[in-house]
Amino acid sequence: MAETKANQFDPQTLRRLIARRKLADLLFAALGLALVIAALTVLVVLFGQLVRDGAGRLVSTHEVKRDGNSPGRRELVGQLKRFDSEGGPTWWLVREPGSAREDDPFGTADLQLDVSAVAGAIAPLAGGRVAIDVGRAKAPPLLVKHVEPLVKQSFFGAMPSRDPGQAGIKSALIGSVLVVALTMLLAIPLGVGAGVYLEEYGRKNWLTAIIEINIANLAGVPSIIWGLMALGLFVYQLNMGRSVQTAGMTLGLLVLPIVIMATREAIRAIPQSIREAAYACGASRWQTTRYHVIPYSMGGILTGTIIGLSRAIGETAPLITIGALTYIAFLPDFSWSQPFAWLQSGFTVLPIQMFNWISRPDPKFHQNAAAAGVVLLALTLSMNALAIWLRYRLRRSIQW
Amino acid sequence: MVRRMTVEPITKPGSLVTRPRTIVLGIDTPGAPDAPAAPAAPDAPAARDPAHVDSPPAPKAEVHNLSFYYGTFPALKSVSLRIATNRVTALIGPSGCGKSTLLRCFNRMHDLYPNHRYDGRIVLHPENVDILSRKVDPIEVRMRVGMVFQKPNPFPKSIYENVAFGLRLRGVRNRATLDAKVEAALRGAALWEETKDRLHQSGAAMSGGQQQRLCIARALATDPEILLFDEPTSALDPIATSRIEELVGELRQRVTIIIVTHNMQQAARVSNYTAFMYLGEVIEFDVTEKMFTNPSNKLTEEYITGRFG
Repeated sequence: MAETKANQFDPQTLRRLIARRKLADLLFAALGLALVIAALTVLVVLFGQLVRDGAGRLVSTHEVKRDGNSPGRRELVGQLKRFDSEGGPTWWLVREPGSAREDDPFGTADLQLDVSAVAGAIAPLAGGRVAIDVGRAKAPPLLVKHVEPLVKQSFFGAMPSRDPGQAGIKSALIGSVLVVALTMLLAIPLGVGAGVYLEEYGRKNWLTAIIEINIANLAGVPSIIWGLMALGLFVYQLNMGRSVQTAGMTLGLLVLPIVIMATREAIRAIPQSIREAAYACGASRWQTTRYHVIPYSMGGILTGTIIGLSRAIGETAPLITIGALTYIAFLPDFSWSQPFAWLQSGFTVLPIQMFNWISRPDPKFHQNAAAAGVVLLALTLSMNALAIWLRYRLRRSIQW
Repeated sequence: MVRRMTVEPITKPGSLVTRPRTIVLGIDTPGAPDAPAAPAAPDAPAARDPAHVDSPPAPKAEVHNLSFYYGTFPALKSVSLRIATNRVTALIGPSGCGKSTLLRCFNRMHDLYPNHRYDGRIVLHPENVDILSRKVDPIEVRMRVGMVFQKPNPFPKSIYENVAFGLRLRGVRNRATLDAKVEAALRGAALWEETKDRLHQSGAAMSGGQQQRLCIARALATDPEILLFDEPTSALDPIATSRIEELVGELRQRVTIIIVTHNMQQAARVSNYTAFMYLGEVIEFDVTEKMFTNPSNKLTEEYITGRFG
């Protein structure tokens, strides 16, 4: 500043100073806007690329038999047609060029069928798409031994498969949901309880200070370290297997510090005057906590917790470490007689399924990986949206 | 007995001493008509208050040589007071003199925070129980001694739930009982007419003065024996202040009140007894009338005439 103290406040200098400050304001606003636009662009490009690669597989369907299996090698696929003539009905299998296999001895020709062996079963299937087993028959009319209607199956309903066009994410999606549900069941009560205890009950001394520092550090521990710990403790020491329960507990531990910290932050936001008001009415500590502290901090607790869980749903490293399988063509066991058998079942989750697909050479699998990525991203974003909505709902009713 | 009252801004603090009558108006003489409000002659003290009657009211609580420490800092030094039953006792003094600290001893509010130490006794009558004793549960004390805070602090719940909280803590489940007590408390806090149609709306949506009256209703709902006011009007505008003061005037017929205030006019208007505190000690404790007209201590006189503090 060249001005001396004496003329510092004359109007012209003031105006110049104001103009300079306004310029700084403008520059900062422009910079901020540019950064936001850049970030949004990157997001749109990344997400757009994922959607572009995966959208095709997300909406496409393939045909499977009623039992969920794709037609076998010796089964012929096509549309079943019935023609009525003077000599009685004749049955034909109408085939389109796309559905023929290279090793199919019949090529793409329409085939006349002899349905005498399955006469009762075939009538309602007329007009629909079917897979038929003709055994070793070589010349039409082929004797049909077995007929199965074909149904359409989507990416979401299909198990993994070595055929990329028929591979789906059913087992991975259900595995993810089960693991996250277990994580939630473990992390929320423990984390909220610990957070409430530390804020409302624990005395502030060196012990709680050490605990606090430790929790903050645990929240930053790389996830693979949690995986190693879980492998040593849960899998080898406690013999819990490479199962849903191991995964849920591992991710539960991973999320626990996040939940504790979110709870403490939310509780700290409650003004002390509210607690004093409750105590002054004669409330005990638990009554104050139960009727005031927890309800008023619920918005913040849920927000932090859901964000922690949306991190858990995308975790891959610790689950690979504990040995989650990458190819699971079955669902976790469930029966009403053993309602908790699924806990001990093998499992896979979306990120591991993606990892499996992306590491294969066939680019069609990469499409599947992109489609699974879209699903995973949608899950994460919808959980975050839920957190935002909950925060809005719960905080609207609470004003200090 | 609601009477209108004018709140005079402190423009000339000295005027308090010269014409105390105008300031003291409005809290007493039940049955007096509205408006110009019977400016009793300064030399007719009996008209003002029973405190002037020869036999003073029985004490509700007695403070004996109470010292209080925050860590090692002595916030109260051997304080002794007598709190009269169904009278208003005001605690005045400059900032940091320990008046809020003393007030918060009466409901053991200090127990919520670490590093405090009581030394001395507060005896609650008629049982003669020392409420500072380790054997006495602070929750029990707080159930008998209500408190209204400096800043209105209603719970972010409905008006009804705010008032009903203390009752629910005491295990009142019956809906009709709750309704009746909530209504009585809201009427007691002169809030019923304004809120009877929106009992289930949030208490936080009301004005500051209404919120403070809601807090008074919350404290009243459980029929406390003593009601503590910690500068209840310092966050309020003059009209809301005057309503709270009216309310204090009405309440003292049912409950013993201790009020901390920075506003000496307020102390003069609403209280029967006044304690002047300075640096953790009670410098002077007397009938309000006498404190503001003829203080016996030099320091008190300097404070109430605005020469320091």
